[in-house]
Amino acid sequence: MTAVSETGAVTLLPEAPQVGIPSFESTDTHDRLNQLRDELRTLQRTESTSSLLVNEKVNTLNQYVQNKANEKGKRYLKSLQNGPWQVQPYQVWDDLGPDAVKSRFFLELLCVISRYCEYPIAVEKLNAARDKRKEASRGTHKGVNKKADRTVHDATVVLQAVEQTGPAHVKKRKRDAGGFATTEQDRPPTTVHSSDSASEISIEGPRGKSLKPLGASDVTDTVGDTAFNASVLSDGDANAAPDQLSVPSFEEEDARTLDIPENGLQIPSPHLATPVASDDCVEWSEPAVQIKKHPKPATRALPVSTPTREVIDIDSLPDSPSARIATEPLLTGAIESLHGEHWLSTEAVFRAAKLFNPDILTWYIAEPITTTSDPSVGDRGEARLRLLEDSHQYVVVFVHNRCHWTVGIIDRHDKTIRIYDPLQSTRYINESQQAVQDFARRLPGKCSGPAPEQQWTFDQTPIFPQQDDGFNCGIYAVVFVIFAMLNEEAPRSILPATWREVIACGFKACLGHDREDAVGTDSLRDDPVADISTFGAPIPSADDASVEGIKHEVKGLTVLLNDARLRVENFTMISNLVEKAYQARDECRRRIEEMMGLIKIHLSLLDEPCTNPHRFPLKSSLVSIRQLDSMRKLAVREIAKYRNVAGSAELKRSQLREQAMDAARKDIESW
Amino acid sequence: MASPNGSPSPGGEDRTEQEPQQSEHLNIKVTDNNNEVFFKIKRTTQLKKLMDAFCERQGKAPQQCRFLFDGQRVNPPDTPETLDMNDGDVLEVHQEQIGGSC
Repeated sequence: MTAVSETGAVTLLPEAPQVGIPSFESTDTHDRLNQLRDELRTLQRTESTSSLLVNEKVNTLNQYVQNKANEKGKRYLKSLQNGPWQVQPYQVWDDLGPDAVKSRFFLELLCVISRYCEYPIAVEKLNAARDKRKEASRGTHKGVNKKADRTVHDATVVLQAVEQTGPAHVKKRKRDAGGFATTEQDRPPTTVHSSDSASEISIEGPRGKSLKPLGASDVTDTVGDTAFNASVLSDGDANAAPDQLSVPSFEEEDARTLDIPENGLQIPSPHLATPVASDDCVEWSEPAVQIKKHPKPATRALPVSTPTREVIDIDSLPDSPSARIATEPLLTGAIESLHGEHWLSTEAVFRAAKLFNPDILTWYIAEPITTTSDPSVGDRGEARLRLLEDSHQYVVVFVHNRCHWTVGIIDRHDKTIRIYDPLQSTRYINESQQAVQDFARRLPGKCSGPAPEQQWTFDQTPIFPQQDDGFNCGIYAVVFVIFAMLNEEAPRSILPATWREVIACGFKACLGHDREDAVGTDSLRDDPVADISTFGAPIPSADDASVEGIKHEVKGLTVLLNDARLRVENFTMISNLVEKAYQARDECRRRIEEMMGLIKIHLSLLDEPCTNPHRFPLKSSLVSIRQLDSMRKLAVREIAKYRNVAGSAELKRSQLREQAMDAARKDIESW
Repeated sequence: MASPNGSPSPGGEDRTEQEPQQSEHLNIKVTDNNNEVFFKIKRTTQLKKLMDAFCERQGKAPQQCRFLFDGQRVNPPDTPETLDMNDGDVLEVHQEQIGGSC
């Protein structure tokens, strides 16, 4: 069974139903051929199987297959559907399996392959490549998947093969598409006879068979390139079939042109020679088109979805109910991350450093960066730090290194960078150095110091306690920054749990909670009194009086004393920090007074009649006033935070001190 | 300035001295690693509304997003006016990270 597309192409329809093919007994052959052509054209070439199905079912199948593919895969399936071979998606599914439909790379390669060769040939080649891959020995195809049904590797192999054969291959396929053999071996032996007319060539079928005209009773389907599409070979029957049929020669096919034939055949059946009525045979004149005319390979680009710029009008959206806690969602999350052994969030390390910043005019806390940040985000030229002033000598930037916090302190005057890694890992230090150096190069503004050509240098790794657990790197980084900002000597060790409590108290104060709530016991991770009272539970009773028991008790008390000493040191350190915070607050107040004085001076200058406009330019005065005012607002805001933090920390310190004293008293009494 | 009929309008000289007023609405682009969303917002509208709309649209939790403008954190009560934003400015959205050790 054959069908003809509108373009005149023809292909085999293995299971297509028979159509009414007229016999050639009538003399009006051209009319019958026209009728045949019309009937054949009603069958779409691509509906080889779908002609048996209802259109709805075909659409359902296609939809089902397309849903299996991703977005790009759908485009390629659509491209195949609209391509020269008009391959339906369900055909791809049926021919190549589900793996092929799910892989967009495979579909992409299939689209390219279908430009070089016919789709059925491509399927055969892909099957051959798959079989070859599966049968390949282990040594020859190392690293190639031998289990998968369809792989991109197969498509790549086929594409390379068809690309090498290139245009000649396509040309041959065009010729073969007319219904003749692919190769000389496959082609049935034919004998070509030239008739009188230069354009008519007679041919005999293979093995003495003659070509039987259409309409014969034994119309059978033929499969493969070696078959004659529309004509059926039968043993010589002089009554029913002519002895000789004239068909085009292969050598002349390129010279033919698409001429409109006579007798009303507007688009002649491309695979049929035009019969001329005769008494005992049918002579075939040269058909206008003897080959299946392939449409040009699909060179159009795949459909690309153009991004639509949708603008959302915020003011038209309904107001959402605003809760107090919802105004600071990040800070709420930061407080949660300070509990227990949770890892610290970005907001926690950033806000903690800002809370303890003693000099906001000298120290600038930048938003944390990450070593894996996407460079496409934002302007990667010069960093845009709106509140960074020339007076900021130091810039603190935390670095998120996959799952670890490190910190860098940039000295803009000396062009030096200090990197602190709580784990003291060379890998993290190197990655952080690179990230902080890139950040420092993009810092805007000018600052006094070396020339801009001078390269950034790295200070020696600072001496600071090393993290000894798996969850407190953020705390260590924050405490390092606090000590650096306060210019304090590095401590011997720190107590991360205590620092977590202090910072959490400060955050709660920022959220606007009451002081009692801020220092409530709910924020305590563990109770030191409980630790001390429960310590030494396995100590043997006095009745045993064994040496081991006494040793164990002494050892436990030693640990207890060391722990108490460490806590006292920590309390002292926090007390010093609180004192420093108060001093910083006073210093900020003093600076604000100075700023206010400067602002008044500027304002008074503005009030005075200005005789020399160059001496007190209006614009620069306004700019400086605006800068001073913004700095003043910032300082006032920071001081309010300090006040809360300092008050909370002081109360907390007194509570912890009392608890430690009680515990020590109980311990001494029990001793 | 002249009226449509060609006659000079009263008080036209005063209007020419005025600076061109800024439009009431701004178009702001909000972008993260993968997406770009454009918002139209009044200068006096709190950016909290914009942040909520972006998070809702992208399916992200507000606790996991940090909005930055010119490298500075944008707080929910801020408005385009207080941040001195202009038409076409970009808000960057960064993902909140956590770190302990590896």
